[in-house]
Amino acid sequence: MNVKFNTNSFANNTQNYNQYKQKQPNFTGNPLQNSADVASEIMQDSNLFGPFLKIYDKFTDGIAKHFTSKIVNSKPIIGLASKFKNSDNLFQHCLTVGSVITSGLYMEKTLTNDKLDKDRKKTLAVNQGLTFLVSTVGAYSLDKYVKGWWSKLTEKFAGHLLNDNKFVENFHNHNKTIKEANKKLEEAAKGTSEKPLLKKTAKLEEFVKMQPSYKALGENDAKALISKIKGMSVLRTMIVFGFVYRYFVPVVVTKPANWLCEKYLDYKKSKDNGKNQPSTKA
Amino acid sequence: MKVNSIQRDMTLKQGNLRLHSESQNFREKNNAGVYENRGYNADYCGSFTGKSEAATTAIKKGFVDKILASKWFGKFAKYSNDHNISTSALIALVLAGVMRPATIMALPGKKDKEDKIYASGHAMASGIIGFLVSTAITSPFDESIKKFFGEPDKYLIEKNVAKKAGRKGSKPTLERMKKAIAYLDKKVETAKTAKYYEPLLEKLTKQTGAMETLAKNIPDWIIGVPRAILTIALIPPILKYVFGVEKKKKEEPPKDTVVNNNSMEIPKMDFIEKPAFQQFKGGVK
Repeated sequence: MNVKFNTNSFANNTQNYNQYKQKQPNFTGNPLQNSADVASEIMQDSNLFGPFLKIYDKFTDGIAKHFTSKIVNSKPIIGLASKFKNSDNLFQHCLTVGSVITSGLYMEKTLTNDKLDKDRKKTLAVNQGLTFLVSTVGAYSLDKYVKGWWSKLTEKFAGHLLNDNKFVENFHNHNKTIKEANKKLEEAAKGTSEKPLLKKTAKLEEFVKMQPSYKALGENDAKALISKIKGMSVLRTMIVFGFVYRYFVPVVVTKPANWLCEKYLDYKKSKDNGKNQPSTKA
Repeated sequence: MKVNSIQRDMTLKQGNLRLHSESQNFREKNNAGVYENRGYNADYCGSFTGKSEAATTAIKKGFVDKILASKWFGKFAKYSNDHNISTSALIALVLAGVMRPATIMALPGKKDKEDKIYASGHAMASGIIGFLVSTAITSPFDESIKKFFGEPDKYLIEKNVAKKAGRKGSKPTLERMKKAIAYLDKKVETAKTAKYYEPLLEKLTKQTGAMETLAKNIPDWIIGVPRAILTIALIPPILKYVFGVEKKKKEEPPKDTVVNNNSMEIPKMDFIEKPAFQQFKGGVK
C-alpha cells in the first residue's frame, strides 16, 4: 500500500474545496517548453504559415540532399576535418578565411582602381594587407587571452542550464581528484619501467553528460543543452573577431595606418622629385 | 505500509524565487521524496534553512549571472551554435551599427558634424546589409546542415537513383562515421573494452565535429564576395533613402567669377558688422 500525503499549507487553507477531493499538485505540462516552442507549434499548425513552412522545409531538404551531403562528404572537407580535428582554433581559422576573401576583394579593387596613380594603388593595397594581418594576429591573441575567463562563464552557464548551484564546484573537484590520483600513480611508477595508466581530466561537455539531471533529459532536450554549451565557445570567438574587425580596426587602426600611408607617399614623392631635378638640369 | 510525504512551503515568505517556479527543482524534489527513497524523506521537508540558502544565492547573483541564467541567453547561445554566420553578422551589426557610430560621434575632432554623420550612417548601413544578406542566404543552408548531420542517411542520393539521372551518388561517409560512433559508444560503455575503443571514438567524434564546423562556415566563404559587392552597391541608396544622408561632394577650386564674387561677399558683411563701422554714421547732413 502506498499513501501520499499532501501537507502543504495551501491545501489546508482551502478546506472547502479540498476536503473531499484532495488534489495532488502535479505538473503535467512539458517543463522545457517555452513560449518560442509554442509559437513555432502554432505557426506549423496554422493555415496561414503552414504552406510557407512546408515549402521552406522542402527547400532545405533539397539543399541537404543536393548540396550539403555532397559538400560534407567531399574529399577536401574530410581531409581538412581530419587535419584540423585536434585544433582548438578551427572556428577562428574559418572566420579568418572569410576575412581573407573580403580583404582580398578590397585590395583587388584598390589595385584595379583607375582613378588612383600607380604608387598610391600599391601603397594603399599594402596598407590594407598589413592592417588585415595585424588585426588578425590581434584577434587570435585577444581570443586566447579571454579564453580562461570565458571558460569560467561557460561553467557557470552549464550550472544554470542544469539548475545545479554546485555544478562548478563539483566540476573542479572532479578534475582535481583525477589530477591528484594521476600524481600518485606517477609517483608510484617512479623508478620502474612501467608507464602508469593516467586518467584524463573531464572536459565540460563530458562532465555535463555525467550529471543525473542531464541523463534525465529527453534526446532533443539533451541535444539542445549541449548545443547551448557549444554555442558559448563560438560566441566568444565571434565577439572577439567581430570586435577587432568591425570596431577596433575601423575606429583605432585605420586612421594611423592612413596617416602613415600618406607620410610614406609624401616622402616617396619628395625623393622622386629630388632624383628628377639633377637629370633635368643635365 | 509506505508513507510518502510531499511537503511544500506555499507561504512564499522568501519571495518569488526560482526555487518555486522552476520545474526542474520541482521534479527533483518529487523524485527525492517519492521515487528514490520510497519512504519518508527526512532530508527534504520544506524547511526554512534550505530555502534561505537558495535565497542567499539568488541575492548574491550578479549581473553576469542574471544574464547567464536568463532564457533569452540560452536561446541566443543555441542560435550561435546553429547559425554561425548569422550570429557573426548580428554581432557585427551591434558593433558596426551601434558602437562604432556612437564612438565616431563622441570623438572630438576637426571633422565637421556632417562628415561624422555620414561615417556613422555608412557603418550602420554596412552592418544592416551584412546582417540581412547573411541571415537570408545562410539560414536555409544552416537548416540543411542541421538536418543532414541529424539524419545523414535520409539525405543521401542513392547510387541507383543517381546513375539513372546520370550523376554520381553521394558517398555515405558521414553516415558510416555516425554508425561507427554509435557502435564505439556502446563498446566504451562496457568497462573491460573501454580503453581500446576510447581513442578511436574520440578521434571520430572530433572529426565529425570539425566537419560540422567547416560545413557551417563554408557558405560564408561562398557569399563573401557577392555580399561585399552588394554592400558597396547598396550603401549609397540606403544612406540616401533610409537615413537621408548623402556624401558631401568635395569643394572644387573657384573657377568662375560667380564663385569669386560669392566668396568675397562674406568678408564684406563682416567688415560692415564691425563695431567701428556700426558707430560710423554716414549720410548727408
